[in-house]
Amino acid sequence: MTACLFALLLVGWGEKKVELLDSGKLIDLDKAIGYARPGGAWEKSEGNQSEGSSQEVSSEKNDDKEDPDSGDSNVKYIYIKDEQITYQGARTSETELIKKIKQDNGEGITFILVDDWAEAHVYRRVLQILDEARESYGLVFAKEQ
Amino acid sequence: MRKKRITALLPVICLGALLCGFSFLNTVVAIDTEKNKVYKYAAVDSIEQEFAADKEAAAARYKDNYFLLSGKAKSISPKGDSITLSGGDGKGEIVCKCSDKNVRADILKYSVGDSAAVYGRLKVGAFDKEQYIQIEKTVKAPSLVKSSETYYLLNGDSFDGSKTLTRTLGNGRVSYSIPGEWKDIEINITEQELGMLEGYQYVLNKMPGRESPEPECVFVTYFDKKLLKNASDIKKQENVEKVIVENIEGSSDNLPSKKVKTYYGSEYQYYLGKYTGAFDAGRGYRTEYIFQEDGENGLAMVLYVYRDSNYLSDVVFLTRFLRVAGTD
Repeated sequence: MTACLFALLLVGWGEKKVELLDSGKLIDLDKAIGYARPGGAWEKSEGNQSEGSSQEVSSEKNDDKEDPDSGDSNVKYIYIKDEQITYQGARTSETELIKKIKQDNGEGITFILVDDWAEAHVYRRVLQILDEARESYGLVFAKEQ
Repeated sequence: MRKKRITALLPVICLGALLCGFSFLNTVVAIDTEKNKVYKYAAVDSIEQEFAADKEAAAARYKDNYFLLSGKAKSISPKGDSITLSGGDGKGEIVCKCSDKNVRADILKYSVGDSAAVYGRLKVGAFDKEQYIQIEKTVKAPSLVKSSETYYLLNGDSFDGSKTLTRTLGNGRVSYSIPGEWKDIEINITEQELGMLEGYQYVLNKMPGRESPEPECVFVTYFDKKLLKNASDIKKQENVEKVIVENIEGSSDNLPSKKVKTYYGSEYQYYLGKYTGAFDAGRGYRTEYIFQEDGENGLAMVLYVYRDSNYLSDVVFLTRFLRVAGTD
């Protein structure tokens, strides 16, 4: 027993500790979390954008949009401009849109789909989502040009 | 006498400590790739057509893969232990079986002709070589993006594989896919002087359309062996991982960890930690690390930092589509 312990200790002593070349931070979590707080901002990277096989989402801001919240709260607006979907004034993705529609749908709620020079494939997909929601749980929606 | 009592208690103490450790690990693990499986959407007719064209090739390609399959209920067994789905326009059909009592009860709620969707694993019969789906969950009124490039989780969250950006790290040895809109929440770690690791931070709580003020981030990085004092130490993978965690959060003592062999073929080492930031006055963050080895070149690392884990699905999809060359 003692011999075993002695042998284990010897093996432990014999092993060198793994060390980093530099003592600097691999990731500075304080700074990183700071970016995630309200008001925390960072400079957008321009380089190193290796695009995949698929399309990118436009990063343009929708500054020219009217404020859809200013009207009737029972009406929810879905704008599509180019490939960008905007729901109730906030840019969103298809996945998020499905969640929000499910969350906001209810009695008296009407969704308005606005084609603001939308890319056809994006418009068709959103229309398909709305059609399915209508078929599945009676969602009410209308189309506007 | 006292010595004997202590000796008798030792196994109990050890077992208790072990159980505490396991329950700690089991209750707080958020990124659990085995619990949060990713299901690829498939239409009944597309799978059926591939099996009809070349059964062996289709079986090799799809056997034991996880799918979310949608179609119309064509027939339902009286006990609810199977439902046959037919494709669009009545083309093709596939039998979906289940043994779970709750799922059987759900199946019995369908009527013939209803739209239906099932989450399950594709099986191929040992003798008749017929394909069927072993159901894990059904969806009564599916609202799905029906594209073969869409992936789903059991909670209904989805990932559109047709609209992604690919990022590569470690001279192209590590790659992963992010949704196109993540470009708006992507931060290059070295460019923004966030640290020495090659890679990116994604600020999940700042995605357009999300309102959470609570910081929640995921990092995808590459640790090159050149960052070690002695590059050959990269072979001591576990020690290297602990040194990385210690550098990031100040300590790596008593970290719960486990080795995971995933259902999609990758292997990773998982650690569960915590980080109390300089500005958080005792309110810490949960940290979860996933390390995938890149031979003797380095390590790919996913780090998830959160308090409430509101956007776990994003991290699960990210982890699912992380690839290290030569490992799968």
